[in-house]
Amino acid sequence: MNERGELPTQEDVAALAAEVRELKEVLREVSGKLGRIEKRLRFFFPDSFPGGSRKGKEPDIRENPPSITPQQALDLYSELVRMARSGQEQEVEARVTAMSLADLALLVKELGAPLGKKPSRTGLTKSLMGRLKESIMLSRHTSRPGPDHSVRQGESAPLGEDAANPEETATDLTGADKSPQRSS
Amino acid sequence: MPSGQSPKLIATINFKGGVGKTTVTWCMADTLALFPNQRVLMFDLDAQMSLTQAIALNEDSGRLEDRFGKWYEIAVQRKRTIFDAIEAFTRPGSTFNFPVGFDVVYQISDQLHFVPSVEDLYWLELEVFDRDSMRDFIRRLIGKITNTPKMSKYHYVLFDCPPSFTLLSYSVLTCADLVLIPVNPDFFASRGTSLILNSLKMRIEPHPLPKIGVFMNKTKTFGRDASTGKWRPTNESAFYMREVGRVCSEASKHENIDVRFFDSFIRERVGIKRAITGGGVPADLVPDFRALWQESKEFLSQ
Repeated sequence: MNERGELPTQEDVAALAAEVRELKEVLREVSGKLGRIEKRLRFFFPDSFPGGSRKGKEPDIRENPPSITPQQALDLYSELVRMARSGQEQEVEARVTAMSLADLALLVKELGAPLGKKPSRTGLTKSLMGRLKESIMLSRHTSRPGPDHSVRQGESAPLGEDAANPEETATDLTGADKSPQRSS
Repeated sequence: MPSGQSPKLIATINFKGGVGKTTVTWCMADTLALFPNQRVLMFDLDAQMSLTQAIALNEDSGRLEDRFGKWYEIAVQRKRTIFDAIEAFTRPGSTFNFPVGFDVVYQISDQLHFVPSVEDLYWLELEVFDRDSMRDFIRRLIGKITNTPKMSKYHYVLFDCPPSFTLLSYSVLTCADLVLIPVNPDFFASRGTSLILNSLKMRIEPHPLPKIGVFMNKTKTFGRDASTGKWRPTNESAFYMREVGRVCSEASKHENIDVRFFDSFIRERVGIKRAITGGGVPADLVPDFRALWQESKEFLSQ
């Protein structure tokens, strides 16, 4: 609304949108220039950028082979399932956090979960936790006692009981003219 | 079948729809009927009638002649369907007066015969209140078929069960020799295994549970193993196979259920959807079903 309490006209909105576009363009240009300056400075003075240091960044999984075999990864997964099922969630998280990115990626791959183009620790952990939840839920069920009934074991008729009644089992195989009529 | 020996009763069941019960039942029956001198009877117990309708489409005569359709129409008109058999069986105060012949059993081929479903089965649960009155129905019906002199002596009887625990499922499960549970490599299709294994036992007590064979259907693969020549499941399929296998071994250990997760699996193939209507198991899947049958047979004989 303007100062007079009126709703903006369509022309006012269009002018504002144009202004926003213009400002965004300016900011994008400024951001690009700042990025280039930062890049040059980082190249010559890498230690002067504490937040931007590459130190502590996860090594690329393509350059670091996993330290475990696929079978060991699956054994580890069975262990994690067992721990999760017995309520040791924190221990499971600690084990997953302690794994290298390459081992984590191998485990997720062996479980058939999608890795994505650029696997990150967050994404891989999420995939692994998803599989763990599935494993727990697949073996969980809620049973209710069955209905009470008075059937005794061994009460069933044997398979060949009807052999004792040949009249009853005989049939006209050529047609159904003699078939019984449905009782009302 | 040697005289006096009962046929082996095999039911395909899973409470989850879409896992491939109907296709598996048909493909197993078709595979078994290809062995020399083996006679197979197949039942469609699902009111959805998928197997029945597929059989109607199956006839590979090259003409529009509808042999099964005509037969089925007469069976319905003359009250010679499975529903009429149930009515005769559950009628109060009467003996099971329902003679069986080839007006009840349809001959697909010399070795493969079929008892179709009817839509009336949808209302069965409403009409038959007492589950115990239905319990022996399948046992008695198979007894009639087995002991009718002019009927074929079947080696195997296969049942395509509905995706829920109905009175007919109950009747089948109390007399089956083997229950086959197909699962798929995804969470929702695998989820039901634990439910079936752990609740089926109490539902059909005091009858002992039949042997239960669980296997992966629609398995995604990526080529063959160089050393064994066997198809290799993808990691995702392998994950669900391990998980379902784990559920089976826990049920076997803790619930004392005679259940086995089969090593053999059926691969995912688009062509299998046309297996029934197209006339038979696709050629490249025949080894899968043979391997599955081999494992089932070994399990049955133990």
